[in-house]
Amino acid sequence: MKFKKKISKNRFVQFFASIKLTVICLFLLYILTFWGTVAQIQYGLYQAQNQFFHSLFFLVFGFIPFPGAQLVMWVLFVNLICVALTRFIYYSWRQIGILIIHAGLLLFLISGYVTLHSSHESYLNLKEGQASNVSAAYHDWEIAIWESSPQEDPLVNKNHVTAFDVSGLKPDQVIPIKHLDLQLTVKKFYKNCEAYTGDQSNKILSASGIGRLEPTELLKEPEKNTPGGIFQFNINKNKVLDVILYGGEAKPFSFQGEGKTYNVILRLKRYPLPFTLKLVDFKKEEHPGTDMARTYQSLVEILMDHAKREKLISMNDPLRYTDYTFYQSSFSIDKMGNESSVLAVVKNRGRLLPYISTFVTFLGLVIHFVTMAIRSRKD
Amino acid sequence: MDFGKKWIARAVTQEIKDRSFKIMTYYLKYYYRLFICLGMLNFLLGSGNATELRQYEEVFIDVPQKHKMADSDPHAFMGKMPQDDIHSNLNLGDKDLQAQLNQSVAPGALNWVTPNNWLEKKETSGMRLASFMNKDTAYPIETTIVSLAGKAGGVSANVTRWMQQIKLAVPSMEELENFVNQQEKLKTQTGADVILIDLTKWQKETEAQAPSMIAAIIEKEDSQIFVKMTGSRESVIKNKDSLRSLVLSIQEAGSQK
Repeated sequence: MKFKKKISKNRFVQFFASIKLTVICLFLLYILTFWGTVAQIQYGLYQAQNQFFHSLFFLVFGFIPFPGAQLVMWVLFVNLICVALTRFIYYSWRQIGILIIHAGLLLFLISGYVTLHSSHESYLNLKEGQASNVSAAYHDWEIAIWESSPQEDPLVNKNHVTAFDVSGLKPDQVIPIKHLDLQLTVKKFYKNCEAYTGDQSNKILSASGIGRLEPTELLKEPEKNTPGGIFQFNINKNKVLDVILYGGEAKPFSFQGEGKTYNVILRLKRYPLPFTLKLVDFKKEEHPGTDMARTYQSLVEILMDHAKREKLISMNDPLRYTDYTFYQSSFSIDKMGNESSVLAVVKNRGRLLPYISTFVTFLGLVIHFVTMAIRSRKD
Repeated sequence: MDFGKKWIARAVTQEIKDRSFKIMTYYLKYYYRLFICLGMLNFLLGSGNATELRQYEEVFIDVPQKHKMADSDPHAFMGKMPQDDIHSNLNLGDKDLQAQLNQSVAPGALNWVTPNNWLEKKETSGMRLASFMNKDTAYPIETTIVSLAGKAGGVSANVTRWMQQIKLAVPSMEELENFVNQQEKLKTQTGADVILIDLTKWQKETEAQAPSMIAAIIEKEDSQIFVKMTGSRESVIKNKDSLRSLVLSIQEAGSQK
């Protein structure tokens, strides 16, 4: 008890335990939610989420700082803890409802934290008959390297890929890839650039005849940015190659070293899935007399080590598997009538936490109202 | 109701209340400490190394050729057509027309030797006698063998159509004839004349990914055999020797030099 008395007198704790701070935080969250939602029209979803919800603060009109939702939620988090430490020093059964509500609210903030740090969204684009065990990010990029291996079936491509994110690459950065006897040095890297054919005598190689890269302004919509760079590959410490890698290339750059063939490509980041997903059939129903899709659905086959099962994914009926959810997102039909389905893949380790938080808060409210009712009847 | 209250009051003694209270405060202390630790973890995660190497097994199962072609690929229609793209504008539902087309297919079976690095896909219907794909997925190509009765439009007309298919500007007739005359001339094992049309020569070296074609026309007395290899410019160049070996190995079933 001494510790609790002492801590309740701490000025920092007293400041953060203020109920006014709670009200201010809730009001700021209200403004940010409204503003962030409306701003999506102007900035797009990704930019608005980053500016209003994922940031600690941002500048209005370029010079007025305004707290972002992440900062507000951290303050609210500390506020709730401080309130619990100072106001509920003498825990009693009368306050059990309020305590549970507090625990539920804290769990809500924890859910937000877990979702922010452990969830990611990607997509899987498959033609009928195709299957894959990796999904692609919408706008994060990676450099992927693999050694060519003999493929038994030319239609089945299996590669052991080593990859790293390019978001933090800096010039002269050295990335050793010991298990492949390779060392990669970043000579130049641009987050958004344009590729041009050019003088091939500069001895810089590329997979598609690119001679030079020209950096361009970073666009607000991240999916419109195409990174590229010049990288030096040191193979087995005795062979050096300068290679241009560009995000717009469809094919990897292949090079030889000590009897091995390596492939390297700059591409959208791949996320391994816990199984291989095959698109068996895609069906689209149209509104009568129009080309407008009324409903579309994908029949997929989940291929695991020793088992497989089928599942029909439709617009309101996703496939759920552990932390993964596969939603029917989009489709395309090419000139030949080949149908492709695009599935949005969401991995969220904390997907159950909001439900648990809601239940805990609801339970706290029920207990609190019941105890209040009993007390009022007693009085 | 009163009975219930009395029962609860009797059951929940002061000792139980005190004990529960102690347990609750004990766990709440750790509950809040957990959140403080998470806050610290946030800062630690924020300073993570972005170039950390990741390793994963990537599996991609493709579908046969007709699904493989991209929209922009001028050869994307090849798989759908029961006949070669020479007939792309015809109404193939017309039974009479279909009968005429079937008659135009050169009779007689052919033999060939599939190049080492290629895989053959037997065609069971249509004008294609066979189609091939290579094992090197880094440089994918598709090759087809089609046999037509008669002169099948002549060399220049076929070359013009192929150039249009890969979106090359068609030159003047004089330039075209010069080009055809300069192409590699070969003879098959059975002595049939072969002309190897390399359309990559009309493209710049920097257009490595542009759709391209190298085709061979084997001229026989009563028919023509077309062996067409399509893919990106660099892919068809890489596979030119394999195409040449395939073409030279083609002979009528049962014939020997």
